[in-house]
Amino acid sequence: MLSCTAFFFIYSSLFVSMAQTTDSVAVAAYNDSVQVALDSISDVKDSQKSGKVAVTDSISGAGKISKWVPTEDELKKELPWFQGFTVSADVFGLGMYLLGDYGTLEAALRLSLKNVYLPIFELGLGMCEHTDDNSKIHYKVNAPFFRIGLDYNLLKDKHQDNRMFAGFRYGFSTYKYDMNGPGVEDPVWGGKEPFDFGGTTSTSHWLELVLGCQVKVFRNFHMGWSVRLKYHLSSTKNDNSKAYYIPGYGTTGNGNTWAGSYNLIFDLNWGKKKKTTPLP
Amino acid sequence: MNKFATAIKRKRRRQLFLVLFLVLVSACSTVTCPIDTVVKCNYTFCDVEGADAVLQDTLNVDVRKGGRDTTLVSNLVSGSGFSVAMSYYNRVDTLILHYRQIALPDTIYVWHDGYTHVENPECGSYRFHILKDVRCTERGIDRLEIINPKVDYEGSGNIKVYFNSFAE
Repeated sequence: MLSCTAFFFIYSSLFVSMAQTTDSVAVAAYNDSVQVALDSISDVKDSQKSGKVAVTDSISGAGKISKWVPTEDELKKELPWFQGFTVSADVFGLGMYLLGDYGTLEAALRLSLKNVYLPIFELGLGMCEHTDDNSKIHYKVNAPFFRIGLDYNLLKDKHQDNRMFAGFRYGFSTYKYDMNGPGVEDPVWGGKEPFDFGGTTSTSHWLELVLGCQVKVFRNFHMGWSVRLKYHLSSTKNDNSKAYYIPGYGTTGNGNTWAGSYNLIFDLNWGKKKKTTPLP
Repeated sequence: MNKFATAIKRKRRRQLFLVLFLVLVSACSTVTCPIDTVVKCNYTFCDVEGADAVLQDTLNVDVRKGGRDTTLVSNLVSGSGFSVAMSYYNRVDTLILHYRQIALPDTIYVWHDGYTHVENPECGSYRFHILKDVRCTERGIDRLEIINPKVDYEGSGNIKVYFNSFAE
């Protein structure tokens, strides 16, 4: 699991670096004054006296693609409250399930408010089928989970499409799990009886702290990742057993747990300023 | 100057990724399993009035299984109590207390229900018990009392043994 986690985060960090390099020209223009940004752009043509500048893409070739760069006055304007939705799917949880004993299928709907506050609703299916090598105890659960939370965009420039965010989630799941095993041998009197706890019902609640980022790849398609620290709040107490895996939370141990996600994101542009100025 | 500031920002982003990666790799959830794999029923001694006491005698405790006795507690001197395993799958356990000062032993009968408990599959399964009833002969013992019917690995006292005279 750790090697898969490492792989995904190395890959995503390289990808984010590449995406940042591609957009570095536009980002520099957003953060600094327009005139200063022009110095770092390799091929620029000043097309109109209004201050709008057509920028060529330094990767794909001069004169083929143009982008709208806001003026300093426009940067100072606040964005309207509603900035659209994004829908996303997590591939990390699916990868974990294909490579290991447990994982998730997960999707999310995120609302953008001024591109500052980002409420989110996550819905998924947690799956686990695990047999311990030593004790031969078998555990199985397939159940949905839900999370609701709020993220805050940490980047200073809210007009760009990329985001770095921090936030929290509240998650819960109601599930039934099956647990069975060969039983334990009586060391004094002798004898052994297998056990079977089928259909044990439980409800769990937890909190998550989230840190992540999201980068525009092309047009409305984004990719991003997040790391999460999860705090288990409570689970239904059963005399016979405790849940080994909680859908949406992960495996239970004696402490809290870390997790991650890698998301494919589709941005529903709604109310955003998107304008292209063709080159003369 | 702005090119330099942009370069610094990129460097800080790479450092942030590296820190997050190291934290993620180093953070692991752990499972701590109970040390004792055998769950025991805990007996505590007291005098007739109910005050905690020490037995002024040497005690041996046997359990009866299949017509034969097996010693579980040997030569307990000036003890304040003892712990013995319970049968996993029998309904009643029979304990025989042999004294040095009294010729005939006392017999304790413990009725209980057992059930399997799993804390975590990595720790294996345990056998817990619910005490239903206790009875005894009265050679050295005055009476018995169930103070905690749940026998698990928490280690709390389960049965109080009130002795007649030689517990102080």
